[in-house]
Formats: sequence, structure tokens, C-alpha cells
Amino acid sequence: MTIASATASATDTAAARVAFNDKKYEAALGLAESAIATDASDVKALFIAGASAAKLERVEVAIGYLKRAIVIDPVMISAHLQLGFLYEKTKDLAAARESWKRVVELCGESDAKVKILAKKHLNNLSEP
Amino acid sequence: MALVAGVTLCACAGSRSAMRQDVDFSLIKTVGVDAKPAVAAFVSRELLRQGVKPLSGQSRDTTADALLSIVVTRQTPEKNYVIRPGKSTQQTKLENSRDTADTITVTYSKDEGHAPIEVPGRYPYVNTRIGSSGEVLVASYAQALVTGELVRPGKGDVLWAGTYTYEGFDLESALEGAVRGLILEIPFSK
Repeated sequence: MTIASATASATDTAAARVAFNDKKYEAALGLAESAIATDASDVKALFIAGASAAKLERVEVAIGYLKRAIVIDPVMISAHLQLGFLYEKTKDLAAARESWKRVVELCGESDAKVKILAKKHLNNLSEP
Repeated sequence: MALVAGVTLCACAGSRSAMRQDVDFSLIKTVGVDAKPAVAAFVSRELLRQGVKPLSGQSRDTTADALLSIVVTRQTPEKNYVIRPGKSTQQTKLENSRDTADTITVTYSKDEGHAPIEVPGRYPYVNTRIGSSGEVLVASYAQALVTGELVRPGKGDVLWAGTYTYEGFDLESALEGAVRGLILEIPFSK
């Protein structure tokens, strides 16, 4: 990847983030996908694409982007967290449990609230 | 069904529920469901998962071993933001909020012209990082709080009572999880 393409990717990712925060999820998804087309390893763009697709209720698309993000950055708590919620939504409870387990494993002291959340979900999803 | 009479209420450690200690819950095989239609289906499914037969309609009042009433007490929609924390990032309690301890305002530092982001909710999750760039996900997920009471039909004795809060991708997921969690707390297998 050239410096010019890296700059273009970063610009699109930054714009995607602003669009996401402004609740312009269609625009955010498009910008994030543009950034990913330039730099397929841009985990921030992958995350925003996933989060935007989730907001647009394109859950399978969202899961796809978030899974790509954790392949590149396996310790990305936010992506595992989002996946936990999305797998629950799709009733893929085995996958949800795996995501929540990863969140528990990855959370440090600064993520104590997230860890509690993940443990609660694991308990909730246990087999009767 | 023979339920052993008793008057002692005892809170279960670590949960927001309490049950009669003198009741053999394993004898409860059929439970009447009293909930709004959107919730009742979740309740019936979870009862079935616990090996208990749910009853609805008029038969629930006459033939059920117990009657389970579940009410959705609170629902809060989700909010998610991706921010770049900086020197001017603030996390403050909102003024005039009834729930100040759990409500924050976040401003993000490098996006000119953007108003502060308000993230309401009992459990805003801050500092889940996104890659190595320093951005974090600030999220307040959809939340549902449900309360329930298990009573003996006819007499109205409360056998068990509890509340459960759960977060989900959306309100439906949160509500489904809250109902599941609440029913898991009822000691049907004991």
C-alpha cells in the first residue's frame, strides 16, 4: 500500500467515524467500505463498517466485518463485544458464548464493567 | 398439587430474587403465564426449557400449579459512538438527571463543530478500544428490566419474586434475555 492510498483510507475511516456518530449509518458504511477497499487491514474501518451495518439491521453483513476485524486484531474487545450481542440476536448461542468468553479473557481491570457484562451474558446463555 | 406451607421469605445470595424456603418448587409442573403478548411467548419458551408446562388463557387460573406474572418495568434503547478521547474529552454526570450516577456526557476532541455526545443508560461502557488507534467504543446497549412474581393460584401466596436486567443488541434481544434470566432464577429444579 502506498502512502497516498494509506492517507485516503485514513481519511475515509475518519469520515466514516464522524458519520457513524451523527447516526448517518448508510454513509458511514459506504465510507468504511471505501476505506476497506483501499486497505483491507484497516481494523477501525472494519469495526465501523460492522457497527454501521448492525445499526442498519444488516446483521449478517455486520458479523462478517467484525469477524474480519478480529482476524486482524484478535484482542479487540469492542469487536468481540459487538459479536456477542449480534450472535445473540441471530440466536447463534454457541457463537455468542464464544464471543463472551473472549471478552472475559481479554478484559483487564480498566474493563471491569464490560467483564461483568460478559459474565452475565455467559450465565444467561448457559444450557438448562 | 401439594405445596408445603411456610411463611419464611429468604433472599438468595447474589441475585435480586427471594423465595419461600418452605416450598418445594420441584413439585411445580404447570405454570400459568400472565404477561403481555409480546412477553408471554418468551416466558412460555423459557418455562418449556426448564421442563415446566406453560398455560395461558382461562385454564391457567384453574389448573396451574402456580401463576407467573411478569411485567416489563423499564426499556432503554441502545446508543453507540466511536470517539477519539483527547484532552478535552469529558465524562460528566448530566445535570437534572434522575439517574446521574450512571449517565455520562462525552465530548470528542478533534471533530470541530460537533456537539457533545450524550450517552444515557445505567451502564455506559467506555474504553473498549478499537484497534491500536486510540479510538474507543462508547456504548449504552439496549436494556430491559423485568419483574416477576410466582403465586399460588386462588390463595395469592407469593412463592417467589424477582427482578432481572439484561442488555441486548436491541430492545427485543434485551427483553428476551431479561425474561430468560428471570426464569432461570426460579428454582424449579430444587
